[in-house]
Amino acid sequence: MVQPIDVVLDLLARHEHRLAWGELSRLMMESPTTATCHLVADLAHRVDVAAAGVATTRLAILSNYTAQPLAPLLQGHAVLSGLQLQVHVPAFDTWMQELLDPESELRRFDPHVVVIDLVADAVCPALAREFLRLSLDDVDAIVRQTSDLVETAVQSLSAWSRARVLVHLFEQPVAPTLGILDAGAGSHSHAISTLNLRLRAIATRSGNVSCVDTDRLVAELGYARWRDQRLWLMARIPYTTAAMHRIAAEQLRFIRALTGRARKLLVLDLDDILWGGVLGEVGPDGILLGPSYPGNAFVELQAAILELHRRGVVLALNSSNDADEALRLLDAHPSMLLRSEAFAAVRINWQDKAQNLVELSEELGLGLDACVFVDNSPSECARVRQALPEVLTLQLDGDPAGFAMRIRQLGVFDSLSYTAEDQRRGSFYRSEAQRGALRKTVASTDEYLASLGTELTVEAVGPPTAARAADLTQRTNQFNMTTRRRTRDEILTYIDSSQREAYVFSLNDRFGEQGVIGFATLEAGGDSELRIADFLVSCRVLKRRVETAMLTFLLERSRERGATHLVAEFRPTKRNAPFAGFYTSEGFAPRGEAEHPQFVRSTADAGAVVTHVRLVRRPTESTPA
Amino acid sequence: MRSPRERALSVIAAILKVPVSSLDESSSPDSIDTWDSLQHLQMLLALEEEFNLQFPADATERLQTVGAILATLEECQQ
Repeated sequence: MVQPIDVVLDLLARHEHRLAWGELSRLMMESPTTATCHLVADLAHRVDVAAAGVATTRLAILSNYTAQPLAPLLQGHAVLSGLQLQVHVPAFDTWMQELLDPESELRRFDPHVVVIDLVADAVCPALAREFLRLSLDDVDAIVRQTSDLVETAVQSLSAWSRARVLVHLFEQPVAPTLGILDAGAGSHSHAISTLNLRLRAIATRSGNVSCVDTDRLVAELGYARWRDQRLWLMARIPYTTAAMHRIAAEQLRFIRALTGRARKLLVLDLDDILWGGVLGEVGPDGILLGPSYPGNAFVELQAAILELHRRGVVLALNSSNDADEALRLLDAHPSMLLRSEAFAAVRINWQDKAQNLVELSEELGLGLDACVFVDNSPSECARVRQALPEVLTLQLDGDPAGFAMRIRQLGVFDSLSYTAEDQRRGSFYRSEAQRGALRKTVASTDEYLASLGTELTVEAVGPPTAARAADLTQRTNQFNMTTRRRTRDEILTYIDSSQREAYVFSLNDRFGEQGVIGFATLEAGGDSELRIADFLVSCRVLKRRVETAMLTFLLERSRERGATHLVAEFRPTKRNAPFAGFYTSEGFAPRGEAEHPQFVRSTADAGAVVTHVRLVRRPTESTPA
Repeated sequence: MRSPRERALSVIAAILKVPVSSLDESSSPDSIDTWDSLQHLQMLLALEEEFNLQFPADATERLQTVGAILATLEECQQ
């Protein structure tokens, strides 16, 4: 079995640093476990930062507990932020000496960011373990001493470093000895609150200090999942593994903001993201968006996105849809919170979504590494992850009830301030990376299509498949050449004639069975001609040349039946206009109008061979019921 | 889907920064330089995370070879 480490080492050996980093990002996205963090952290250091288009940052952790286990977690998670993080953890409890000693390793390390995380059990044990033995004056003194210690640390650091400091606030006691009486002046909780207020005051005074709100993290995890008493007693590690991951993620939010690597652009799909359902299939009245479930889940998601917009995040759309219809819906639907004007740019078309992202990035002047892409489809997300690894791709699927919180918890848009300018739109910058990405995208579309392992199975329609075929004729609006709606019975009647044939096409690829996605019919016209009466393809599988493969099959079939020419018709509707040029692009010649545009092709020419689609003909007898 | 044994070895290899192929039942702190007490602890934590279980309290002391770790994992999973 090929180990992920071998894939990355191989890429590095071939000097493909950007791809190697992309592979590390993919590993972290798929499975952000401790083991993966260790693996990725180790490999990240072998990547050439300049070649990969990422940045290096130096972080020092000053703590009075065993902090080494945090380092690989930080380094692993940092990969997703385009950061090769170097972490220095001084030997146990030597942090103050390292700060003061001009010859220390900490000085030589010269950190960009310094974390100060002191757990109460170690820095003010009397407060933590024997609170009731202390007088009010004692408590006061300990609180002062502890905050003075932190202030001394901050000042010593600023004497020789311009590093940004992250001070972890202290946890509220979860089980104070006074129990229900522990409240107000003189209580344990009050002592910790006072201590934290003093730390916040240090931050305000110093200008380069931020505070990590520990209580918020504890609230998120719950104390039982935060604190590991067993590890504390055995090895002076106060936190559970889950807590350490959460702490690393929180520290990275600050680091990203400090190094200007906050993401600034949120690019959204439309169907099953801003509303439930596929607009092209159900129409504007069929989408789910409103006061009842699940429509209200999508309203909540829109509210969360709108808040980000107020925060200064730029919004854009990247969707496979009819642009006019989609934009009209955005502005007309009564429950829509995000109107078309909220989006700084849109790409609503039938183009490759990775290509759309590159264009959006160019148009808005925001680097791909500043972009978050949100989509419902596993294949679209895989495509973008593969083509544009610097984009943070979030696949939102499953129960929409959880979507709003997942957007809120992304934590990648943090900046160090929130100004009127952010409220308007924030600042833009250009990146060189996107030009390289443009070239890369064009080249890799074919590779990507080849990697899908697409298999197209064609079989003549029979009783078991007639219902699905009928369904397809009723729901497919965009890639539908003649838009004839047929019921199951009509189809069964239709095929009950030697003059007519109907076929269903099913697609299978590395993402699984896509089911029946195409339908076509052939009927005898005069003069050894066969006519394509129906030709439609589900919009889920467009941009893969599946329709070309279908046409190639029909040409072959026509030849088998002895026809010299294959004729086709296009009946324009509001929805299928983007595909009016299909037959012409497939080598058909226009032939008069009659009622609607007609096209013709000689069956003597073989159809185009679509190399990445394997066509399989299945005999009807073996079709399962 | 990888076997529990393959998953465990991947985790151990990642923490110790050695190739999976270099690990066998007898691998121990004596045979692997990077296997010190802190790595030992991190390895056990990572395995607990991977298999969603908790090792018994004396595991840190007892589990001093890859073989012992794999055997205990099998026990814990039943």
